[in-house]
Amino acid sequence: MGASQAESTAAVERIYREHGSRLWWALLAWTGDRDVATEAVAESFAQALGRGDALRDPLAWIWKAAFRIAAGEMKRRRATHQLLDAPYEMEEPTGVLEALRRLSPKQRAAVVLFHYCGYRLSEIAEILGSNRATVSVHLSRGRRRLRAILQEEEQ
Amino acid sequence: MSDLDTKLREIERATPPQMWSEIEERARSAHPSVRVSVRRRWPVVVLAVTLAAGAVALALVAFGSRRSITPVAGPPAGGLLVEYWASISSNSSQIWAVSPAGTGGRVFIADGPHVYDKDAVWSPDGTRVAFLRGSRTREPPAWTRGLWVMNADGSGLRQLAGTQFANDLAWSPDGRTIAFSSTGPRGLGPSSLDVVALDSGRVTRILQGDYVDPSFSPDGRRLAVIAGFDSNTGTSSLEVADVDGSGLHPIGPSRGLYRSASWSPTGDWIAVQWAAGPNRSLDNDIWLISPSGAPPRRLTDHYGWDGQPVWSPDGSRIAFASDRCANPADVRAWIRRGDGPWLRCVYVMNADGSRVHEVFRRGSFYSAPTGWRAGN
Repeated sequence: MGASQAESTAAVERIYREHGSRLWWALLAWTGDRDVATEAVAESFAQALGRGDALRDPLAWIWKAAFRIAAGEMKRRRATHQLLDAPYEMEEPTGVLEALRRLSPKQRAAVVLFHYCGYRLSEIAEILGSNRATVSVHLSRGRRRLRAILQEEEQ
Repeated sequence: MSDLDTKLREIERATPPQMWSEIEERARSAHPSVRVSVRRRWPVVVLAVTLAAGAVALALVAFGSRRSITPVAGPPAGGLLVEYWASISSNSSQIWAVSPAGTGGRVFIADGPHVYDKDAVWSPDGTRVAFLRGSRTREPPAWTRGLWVMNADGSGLRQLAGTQFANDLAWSPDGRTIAFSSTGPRGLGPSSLDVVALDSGRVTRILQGDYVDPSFSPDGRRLAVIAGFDSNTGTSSLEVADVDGSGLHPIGPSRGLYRSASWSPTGDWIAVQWAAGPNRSLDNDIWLISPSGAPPRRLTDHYGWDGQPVWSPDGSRIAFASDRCANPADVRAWIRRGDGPWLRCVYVMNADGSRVHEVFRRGSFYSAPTGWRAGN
């Protein structure tokens, strides 16, 4: 392996070690499906490896690609009726994930990317293919709704 | 940390699978024909090279396990060079020669599943071509990239520099240097601007920082570049510098996302892909920006992606890539989702934006013009 290619591969692997779990958790929270999250993470990192040094910002590209892949897979599953109202397949089901399921997909994405992943509005807009103002609306409505749901569950 | 931040961390009670081995396997199997093809062809290539001239054999030794270079497929079918990507992988690109009149084209530089070529540009006199070639090493499988030059008839092929992280080639009007952007170590980080001398192969850095898409002024004294490209914030600037990198200054509107500068042969305009709207990474058009401060001119107005303009040698026409060949519903979906465009075709228009016509469409992925020479 050429030294530069090896370094490029090592860089992607380092990103996986440092960010792979967080990306998987974010995708799980967004899609509610372990398989979709796993597929999206594996495929986005594999494509990043395949592109070698061609990626200007591998981390940003991987996040965006993973959400695109997950969205495509969710769309395919909806089309083929594979996505039923099954509960999260969690080792330890948590209330917050059940609550997230009651948000719209766009609200859920905005809340997860902002409050869990720590992205700025402009970055979320880039990942989701939206604009800052729209993301702001989804985030505002999503967290208001999520707080209400969580308070309901606590009472 | 807000209450929701804390609450959402409960997500981490789920255990993620360990996927790195699968990721590596996927990356390898994305090119299943590569290893097979290389192994089958290698003895034949070695035999052919051994029987060829000693200079060729020495070149093979110099490049170690890298495969030999397949000669070009013959004289170009047209003066417009098009980079065609067969898939999302950057390792899938090949160079076509296309008639700007839209009467056809064919693969210009022969390749295979274990080689990709990109960013082909003509020399100013149209007798030579420079391009970036990625080659797959055999064991372990890996890609390396270099800047190559050859004559238009396919002879005289040589590697000019081992520019592993080069992109965006621009041949100087005097024919003596080629400018390119070059990312940092490991292929990460911002791109600086380098020039390589044709005669010596010596690479000189002229702009350190974050610069892509160089284009020489027709007198060869200045360079237009895109500075600070950031798709996350949707901002970049069009800047002009002397050819040694001094005197760098922005031109054109200070807002929006610029990409792909192309200086006109007459020197009056720089064609760019530019957008300032909410979806500026995916909904952009071709504009003309004046180096002397004249008001910008809009050449295309398409809901979608128009970009990568390339001037005809006489300055009368512009080739560009666009997703206008895709289903409009798909284009809207790409913009809504923020990905794509996943299908781009090549178009030619007059320099005033009139008479747009498609000249290249192939496959289900994308293509873009990279060079145009006089004569056809």
